[in-house]
Amino acid sequence: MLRNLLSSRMIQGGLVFFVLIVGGSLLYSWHVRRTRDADFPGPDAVQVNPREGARDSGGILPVDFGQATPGLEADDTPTVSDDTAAPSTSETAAETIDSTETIDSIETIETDAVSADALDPSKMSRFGLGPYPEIPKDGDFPPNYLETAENIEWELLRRIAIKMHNEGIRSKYGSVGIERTGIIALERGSVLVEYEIDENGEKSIYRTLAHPDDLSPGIYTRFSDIPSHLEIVTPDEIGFDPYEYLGLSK
Amino acid sequence: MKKITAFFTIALLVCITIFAAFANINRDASYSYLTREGPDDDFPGQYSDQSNTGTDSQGPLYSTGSSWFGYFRDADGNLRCAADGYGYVSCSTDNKNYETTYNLYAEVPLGLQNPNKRNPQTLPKLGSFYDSVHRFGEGNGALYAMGGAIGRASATGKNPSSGAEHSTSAESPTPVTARDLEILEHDD
Repeated sequence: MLRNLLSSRMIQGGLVFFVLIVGGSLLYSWHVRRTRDADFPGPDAVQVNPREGARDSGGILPVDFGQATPGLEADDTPTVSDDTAAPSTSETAAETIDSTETIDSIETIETDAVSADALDPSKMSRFGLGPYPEIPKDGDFPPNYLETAENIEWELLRRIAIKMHNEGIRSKYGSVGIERTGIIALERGSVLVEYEIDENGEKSIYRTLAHPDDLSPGIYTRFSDIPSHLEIVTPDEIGFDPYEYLGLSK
Repeated sequence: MKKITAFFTIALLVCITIFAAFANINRDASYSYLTREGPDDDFPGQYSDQSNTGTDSQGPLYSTGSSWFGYFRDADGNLRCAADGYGYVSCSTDNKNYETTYNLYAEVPLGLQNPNKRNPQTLPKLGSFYDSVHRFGEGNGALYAMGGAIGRASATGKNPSSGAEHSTSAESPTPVTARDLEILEHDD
């Protein structure tokens, strides 16, 4: 029976194919990991230890990332006022960015505006955003940084990165990204949360965005769970209009 | 003979498909813990809680999906249950221009929380960050079988300077799909 099976060409072919697929995948996996280890000393990987605190549902829920989560006691007071729920306008957010500008940075902005190659089609945005700004030489930007943007969102984001770098304010922010409320630039020391109102009428956090060095990973459900030295913000509060910030017309 | 050959061929193709689908999920870890109920417990089944975690990392990216389900009794002795689902992505890098796109998903069984699923719109980010979403809820333990919560996260990233690309994908396993399963004794 087994001999008959193994002598079938289809089975033999299938086995060979299977071995090739498995072997190829393992080889690729080995190659990727070797490349990664060479490029990066290792991510700041957190470990989940669900053995601990499984039934402690008060505030921090059962996921424990194997490291201390400082300042999560219930008596911590968040640095957020009740009016945080009120969404601010994009103008407010833009003013926040503008208020950080210095005279030096304003001079730099002027150099962003239009390059000398403005009439060269290869120096024009493929997505109708006009001439590319100059790529700074000191910001680890590749020469074709803007030309290789895959879509308009990426080009806007890359232009914002360039402008913030030129203004000298990029280092204030851990991450800069796109959210439903526009562009967000999350300052170090801030935590962006999204929340809902639960059946008791209280704010219940369901999403947390922060810099990995500012806040330990974990499940934060109440504002009081967030360490008090961190500022709590929402996408509505810090979102700003990328076109307005870049001085582009929509 | 032809039927047997066809059966094994199809089985082989199914195995290959499953392997291809799951080869790149939870590459770092995939484990479940089941805790056996105590001698005085009277829970459905023989376990008091279940915890499932899958993790994956590559380059500066790290993803985890985890879920938890547990039975307990309230002060009046009523059987209750609680569950949570958690999706988490992080990018830890010194490169402020590192580009990441990612997705997060968390779910608990219907009725434990409203809405019982969250899949926030997550769009491109530059630089270092972590983002997480969770669902948590409690309910009548008699109405829910153990399990049903899900946490999921995936991310792709690129270093625009070097062109190096990375991706991670993690999802909370079940005790059946987890690579490592451990049964813990009740330790009250």
